Amino acid sequence: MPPTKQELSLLINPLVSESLAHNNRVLTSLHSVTAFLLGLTAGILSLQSATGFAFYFLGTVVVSALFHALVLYRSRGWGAGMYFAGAQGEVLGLDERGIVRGKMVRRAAWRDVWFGGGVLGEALSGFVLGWAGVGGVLR
Amino acid sequence: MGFFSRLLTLFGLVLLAHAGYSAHEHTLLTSSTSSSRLNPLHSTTTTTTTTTHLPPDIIIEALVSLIVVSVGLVLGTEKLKPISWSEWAGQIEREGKGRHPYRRLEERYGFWDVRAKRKEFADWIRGTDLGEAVEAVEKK
Repeated sequence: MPPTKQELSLLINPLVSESLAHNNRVLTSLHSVTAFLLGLTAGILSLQSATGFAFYFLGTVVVSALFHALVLYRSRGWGAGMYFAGAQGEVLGLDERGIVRGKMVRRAAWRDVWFGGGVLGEALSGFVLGWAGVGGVLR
Repeated sequence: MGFFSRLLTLFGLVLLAHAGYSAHEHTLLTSSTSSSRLNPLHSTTTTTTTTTHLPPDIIIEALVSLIVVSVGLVLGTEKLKPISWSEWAGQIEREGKGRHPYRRLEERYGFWDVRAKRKEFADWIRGTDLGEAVEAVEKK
């Protein structure tokens, strides 16, 4: 059985786990800090139940969009595939013999930018903390 | 970009704090007026359950400050490192030799100069008393 494209990608173009961990840590810290600030704002605006969570998702989308724009700018237009693993590190545009045409970027790495970084985990709990805390103090 | 982003974040945080304080003041004001207007029997229930409608300038201030802080924080993120081994190694090589992972292989000795080493050894052994002892052993 021939190796899959993902296996070939990792064999021929290995990932640097140190850099990967560093990038994910940067993303996670950004999301947790901004989620807390989103929670503070939601508390100031006295949002309730579903509106608050909708506000969180909207705010996270804005922050992710800003971060993605920055990543695009810093990678000179190559995108998140240079910094995030995406689909287990599969390289975009790899053919059966393992040859990459063009720049080496990882497939579906935008998912890491938009859904990664603990958006539905730690960041959400930080949001609820700020939301409830400021809501309790102000009212 | 570091100083600019920090300034932006600080400015946004001050704006956010101001919006929070304004919202607090507004809540105090509305709750006090509503409690004084109504009869004291209902005052306790109304103050706890008032749904305050914030004036639009506080809402706008909070949202704008949030965007400013987000932009500042995003601009202030650490630089990401390339994850592909080839890119990463190329960047390290361009930066300098300090963190080069293959420096051990890149900087090796050439051929060992046997003649120089032999001469060095002969000079050393002649300089010490050891040489006479060796000659004495060889004569026997």
